[in-house]
Amino acid sequence: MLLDVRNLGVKYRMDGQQINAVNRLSFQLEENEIFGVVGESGCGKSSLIKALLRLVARNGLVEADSVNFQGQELLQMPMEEFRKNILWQKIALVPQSAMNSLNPVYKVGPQIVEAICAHVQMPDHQARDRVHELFESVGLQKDLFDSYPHQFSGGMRQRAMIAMALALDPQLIIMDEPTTGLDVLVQDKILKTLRRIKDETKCSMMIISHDIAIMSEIATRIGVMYGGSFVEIAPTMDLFKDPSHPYTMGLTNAFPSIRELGKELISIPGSPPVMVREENKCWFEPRCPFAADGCRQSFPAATMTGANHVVSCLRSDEREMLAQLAKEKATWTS
Amino acid sequence: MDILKLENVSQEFFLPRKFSDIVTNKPARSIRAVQAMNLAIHENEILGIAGESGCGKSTTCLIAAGLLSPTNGVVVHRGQSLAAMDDAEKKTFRRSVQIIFQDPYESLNPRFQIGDAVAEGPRAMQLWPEEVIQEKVRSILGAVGLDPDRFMKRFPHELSGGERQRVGIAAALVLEPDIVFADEPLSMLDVSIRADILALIKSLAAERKFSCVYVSHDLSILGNVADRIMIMYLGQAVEIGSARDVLTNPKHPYTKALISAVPIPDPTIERGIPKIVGDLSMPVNTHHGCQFAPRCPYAKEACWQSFRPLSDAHTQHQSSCVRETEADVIGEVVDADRG
Repeated sequence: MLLDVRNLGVKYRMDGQQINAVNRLSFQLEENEIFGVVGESGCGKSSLIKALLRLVARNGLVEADSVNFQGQELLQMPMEEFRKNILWQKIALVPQSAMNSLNPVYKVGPQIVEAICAHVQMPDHQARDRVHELFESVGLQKDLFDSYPHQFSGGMRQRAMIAMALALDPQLIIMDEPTTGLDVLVQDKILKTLRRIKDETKCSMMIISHDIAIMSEIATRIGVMYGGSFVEIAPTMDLFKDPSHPYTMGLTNAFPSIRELGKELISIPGSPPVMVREENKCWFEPRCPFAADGCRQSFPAATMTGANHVVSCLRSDEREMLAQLAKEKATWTS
Repeated sequence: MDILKLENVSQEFFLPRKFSDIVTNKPARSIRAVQAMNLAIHENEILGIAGESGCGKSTTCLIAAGLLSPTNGVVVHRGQSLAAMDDAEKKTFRRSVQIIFQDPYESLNPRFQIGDAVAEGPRAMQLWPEEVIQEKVRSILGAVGLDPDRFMKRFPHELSGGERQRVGIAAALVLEPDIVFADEPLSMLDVSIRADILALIKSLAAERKFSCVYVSHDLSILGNVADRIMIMYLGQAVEIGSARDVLTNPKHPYTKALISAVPIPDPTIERGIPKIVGDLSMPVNTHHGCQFAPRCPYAKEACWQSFRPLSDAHTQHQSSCVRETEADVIGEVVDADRG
C-alpha cells in the first residue's frame, strides 16, 4: 500500500465561523493505480490535496488519525524533512489550470531545471539532460526547452507541468483537473499520455475532476466525494455497474452521453451543502430522495458491499432496489 | 420562414503590423475568424454550434446577434438586412435577439435586486408601463422556476449558481425575443444541476416558440439539447445536419475525429481513436483551401486549393468535405473507427 489516510479532517476559521471542508475522510491508495476523485465544487477536493501536501493555509487546521505514506506518518513529520524528502521527490502535484502555473518571464526548460535542483544535488547539465528526457516522455519537442510559456498552447503547457511533476520520479502524482479548459482532441492526447506514463514509470496517480466521463476512461478506481468525505469508493467498472450511494446514482443520471442521444437527464434537486456546523448526520440527506429518519441522526459508517467497494449510506443494503428507483425521474422531482 | 440568415459572411481580424513589416511594406496579417458562412436559423429550433476553442463559434454568434459587423456578407433578420436597418428597426431587432451569458457569477450586477435585474431590459427600452413590466417580470421568474415573492427582492450573492443562471435566462426572455444566443451557459455550473438548466432552456424554447443558438464545445450536451448541429473548424463551417445525423453518421473527417475524442461515461464502451494529425494552428495567412487539410489523413491536392462552403438552401445533412462521397475514404474511416 502506498498511502493510507484515516479520518482526515480539514477545518478553516473564517470570520469567526468554522468551515469543515473535509470530514472523517478515509481512503487507501495502492501502487500503480489511477485513483479518480469525483465531486462538485465545494465538496472538499482541493482541501484534500492541500492537506496531503501540507499546504493548508494558516487559518486551516488539519487533523487525522493517520496519514501514512510508505510507512511514514506525513503529518507528524517535521516540515523541513517533509519538504526535503517527500514533496516533489515522492509526491508531486500538477496544479489546476496549468495555463497560469508557469512563470511567464522565465523559459520553460530552465523552470523545470530549477525545480530539480531545488530538491536534489545535480549538476546543471545533468538536470538539462533530464528535462530533455522528460520533454520526450510527455510528448514535447526538445527544441521547446528555450521557449517561453506564452509560446506554448494550453495542451503544451499542461504537458510541461506534467513533465515538471515527473522530474524526480515520484511514487504519487496528484493532479487537480488536468484537462479542464482543454479541447476534446487535446484532452484525448493528454489522457493517453497519462496512461502511458503510469505504465512506464509504475507510479500512482490521484486525479481530481468533476467529469465522470473522463474518470470512466482513465481511472482504475473512483472515489465519489460529497460534503467533505468519500460517500462511495469502488473500482471503475463496479461503480458504473452497481452504483450504491444515491449521490452516485444521481450523478450518472445527470451526465449526458454522446452514445445515448435520447437519454433524459435528471439533475439532483437542491444545492451542495455549506459545511459550517459540525453535524452528526449524512450531508446528502437534504437532497436525497431515499432519506430516512436514521440519516438525520448519525453519520453513516463506511460499509463494504463488495470487493473493494465501500459505501457510506445507511440504506446500502437496499442499494439494488434504490438504483432501480433512481432511474425514474419522478423519484428525484417529487 | 427563417428567422436569421447569414449569407456568405466572413470576418477578418487584422493583427498589428510588426515594425519590420512596415519597413518592408508588407500588408497587415489577418486572422480569418469566420469564412464564407451560409447559415439559416429556422423558426423554433435549437441549433448547436460546436468546435474547438478559436474555431470562430463565438464570433459567428456576435455577428448573428448584430454585435459585430462582418467584413463581408450580410446578416438578414426576417427578410431584412441588418446593415440597411434604420434606428427604429434596429431597436426592434435588438429586442428580438437576446443573449444568455456564460458566467452567471459575472453577468449580474451585484447591487441590483433580482427583480430590477430582470426588469432592466424592458425599462431601458421603455416597452411597457411600469405595472406591466412588474407583471411580466413576475411571470417570467415563475416560468424559470424562481418564486417571484421570494426572489424579487434578493441580491445575486444570496443565490446559488443555478439560480443565478435562471435569472440570466429570465432577463433574456422577458423581452419576448424570437432568437436567443446561449454561449456555453452551463460551463460555470455544477454537474448535478446542469441537467435542470438544460431541460429548462429546452422546455421554454418549445413553449415560448423562440429559436436558440447553443454554443458549446461539449458534443454530449449538444446531442441532448440541439435539433441541428453545425461543426466549425478554424472559421469554416464543415458540417451541418440534424443532431442525430451529425453525431451518429458524421461525414467530415474532422467531425469524425471530434466525436471519437468525446469521453463516454460508461467504462464498458471503448471509443475509437481520433484520426487526426498534428495540433491546432492559428488561422493566419493560411492557404485558401479547407483549413482542416493540414491535419486531415485523407487530404488530397484539391483540398488545399479551394474550400466548398455549406449551403443554406436546403436542410439536409451536408459537409464541406470534397471527398465525403468517395466510398474508399468512408470505408477507410469506418475501419479506423472499428480499430
